[in-house]
Amino acid sequence: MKRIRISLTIFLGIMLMISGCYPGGPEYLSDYDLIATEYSEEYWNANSPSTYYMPDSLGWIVDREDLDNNEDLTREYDAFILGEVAENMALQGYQRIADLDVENPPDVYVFTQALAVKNTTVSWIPGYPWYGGYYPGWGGYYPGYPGYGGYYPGWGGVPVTSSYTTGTILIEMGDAKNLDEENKIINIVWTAGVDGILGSSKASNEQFVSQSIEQAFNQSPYLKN
Amino acid sequence: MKTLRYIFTLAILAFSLQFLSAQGRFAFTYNTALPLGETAELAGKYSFRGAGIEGRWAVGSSFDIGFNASWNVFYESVSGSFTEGNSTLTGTQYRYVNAYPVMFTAYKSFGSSESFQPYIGLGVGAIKADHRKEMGLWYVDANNWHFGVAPEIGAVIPTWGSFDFLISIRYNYGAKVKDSPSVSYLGLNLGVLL
Repeated sequence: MKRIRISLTIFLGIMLMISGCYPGGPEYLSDYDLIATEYSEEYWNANSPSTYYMPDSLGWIVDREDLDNNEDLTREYDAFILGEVAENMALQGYQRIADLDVENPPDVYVFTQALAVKNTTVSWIPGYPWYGGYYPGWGGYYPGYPGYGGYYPGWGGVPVTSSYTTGTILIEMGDAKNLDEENKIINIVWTAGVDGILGSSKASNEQFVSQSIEQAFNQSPYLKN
Repeated sequence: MKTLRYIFTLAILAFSLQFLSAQGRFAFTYNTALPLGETAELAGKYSFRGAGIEGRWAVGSSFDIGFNASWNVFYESVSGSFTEGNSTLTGTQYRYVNAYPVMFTAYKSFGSSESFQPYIGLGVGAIKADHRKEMGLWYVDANNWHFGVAPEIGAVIPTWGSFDFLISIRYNYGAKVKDSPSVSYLGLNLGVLL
């Protein structure tokens, strides 16, 4: 019995010592920041777009089947986010088209959206169309996206496997010159996801948004004109 | 929680065996380890977090057979941009490898049990390994059993008390399986043999 008591004491002692120093993970909000980009190699090898159209409002992706699964997020950053995207597009050498003419479209469409869905993991599976009814269980909801004639952003063979949560900003670039007329789909040729946890300070949140969007463009050198 | 379950299981196993056989000797060790190969590629820092138990039964004057079960966790955080194919991720990656070898073992001792007694040993069994990368609010995880081998050298150092000290260097290798890379690390284990 004495040996067993000694064994137990030693064993528990070692375990307590080790459990107290298990490796840590993120400590600060900024440790959760994530900027993900993905592109269609085929498109960028063959094309050099220089003009784009972007709606004046931020799109929101919501769960239309379960409205309780949506967050009522603040819209106070909408204009700021769109401004940052426009600024970075200009820095990359793109000219923004103010009025959309479907007969004479720009080279690409730029969609900027935010996820309003809470507690949800979105997995983008290679080759999986994911908007406008092609997004199982979600549906796409684009308030304030005029002039698309029923088109939805679709899948352009950009394989992304990632996860996003409430507040994630998605920037997508769609090929405006080669629309899938039959299925009403715009092929996405570049996508960026900016993911992080917002703090309570507007200034620091805007700094996060600004730096993250800039990083998304910086880590995508093929966009440069 | 998962770690606590393993610890609890190991404790039950150890003490059950101790009750079953008064002839066996049991060791409790503090395990540190140097990651190698694909384990080092994922989490390259030296691990000071580990523990193990061993059981040994004499089957001859200088031969023992037994088992060992242990745990080491490897960890490293890396910040920057990570590109794979057409995708790039920027942020801080937190990488963990939790390795749980469970081996049947055989030992050959040299010298007298009354003095410093070196030994060589070989373990054959399995390594349960959890490879995990965390980034932002998401993670990728591969948790599999690997076929494992663990050659070892060590020594038993007698004391005046009712236990001996044990020191060993053990190379743990788990073969690549499914979506999990191979597991490879060199462990330095210090403990007491009862």
